[in-house]
Amino acid sequence: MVVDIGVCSSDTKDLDSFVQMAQKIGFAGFATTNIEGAFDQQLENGFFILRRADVAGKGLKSIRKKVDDVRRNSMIVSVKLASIETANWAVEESKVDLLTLDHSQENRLRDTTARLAAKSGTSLEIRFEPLIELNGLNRSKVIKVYREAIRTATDSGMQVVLSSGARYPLQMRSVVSIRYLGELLGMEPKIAEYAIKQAPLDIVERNRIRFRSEYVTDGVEVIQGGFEK
Amino acid sequence: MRKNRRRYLSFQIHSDTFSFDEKQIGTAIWKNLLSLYGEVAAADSKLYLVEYDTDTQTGVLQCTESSLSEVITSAVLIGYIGKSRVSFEPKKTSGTIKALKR
Repeated sequence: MVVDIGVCSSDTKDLDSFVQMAQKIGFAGFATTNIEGAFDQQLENGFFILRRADVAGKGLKSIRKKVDDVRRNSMIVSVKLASIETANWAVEESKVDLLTLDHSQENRLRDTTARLAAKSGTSLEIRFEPLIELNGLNRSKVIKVYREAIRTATDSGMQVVLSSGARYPLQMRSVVSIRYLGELLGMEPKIAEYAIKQAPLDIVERNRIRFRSEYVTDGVEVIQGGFEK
Repeated sequence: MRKNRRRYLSFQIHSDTFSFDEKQIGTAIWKNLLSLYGEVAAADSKLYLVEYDTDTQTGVLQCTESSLSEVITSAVLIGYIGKSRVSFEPKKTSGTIKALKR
């Protein structure tokens, strides 16, 4: 089972074509920002669509507030890599699943941030959509930023997740294709495959457990209800 | 010197239109390979589009074994052919066309 946790459909009307494309290339589900209804939806054919929230803001205070607001109704919560203060807070915050690298920003992933993320289990999200859309020098610059960030993350033990960031269905790629893109970005084939297949699924499974009514905190669950005396 | 073996790659093109011919596909892959890995790598790849079926949008590419990874990566990064958005999906690789079609 493979999930693309970074689909960016701009309109809910496009969802059907995204679902069709994802199924054609072998995905069992995807997460997107633009869905109505429940945050974990399963279609009749077993395909699932999850809601994700991309949080960005000017200061730490506003990002904190936004994360608190969206966590309860989003399966995936991602914060854009911005200032050191924001990034270091985000990777230590259990409500945040992903730190998303924005190639257009000048902020880079620092060793210290990556080490904190490795301890807390927050992953670095790399979206390959710019690699498809750009070419020549601009693409080369994106590859440089991505390769540096991935090296910093893997050296510190931070998990990397590869997602499409697709705004159109035809920007999605199959698992095999993404594995080759991972290799282009300096990942070992096995690590690249883990970053597409297992790492996103681990995040989804972890959050599904968290959303269960019996869940209290990591490692603590209500097994049997008691009676108040 | 060890002979550089050939590899064959079957693929499918996903797109909204069915108007591409062999030449357009081959040129698009070649251009991306050239842009991404340079002239020497593109020349050494000995890239050749063996066949392409415009109805099913599937085809077979031939390249050297050592450049297979670069060829696939370049093809996967094709976003457009002409003005149409496309998605390249590698299906299977093999040392012979016969095994590829098995």
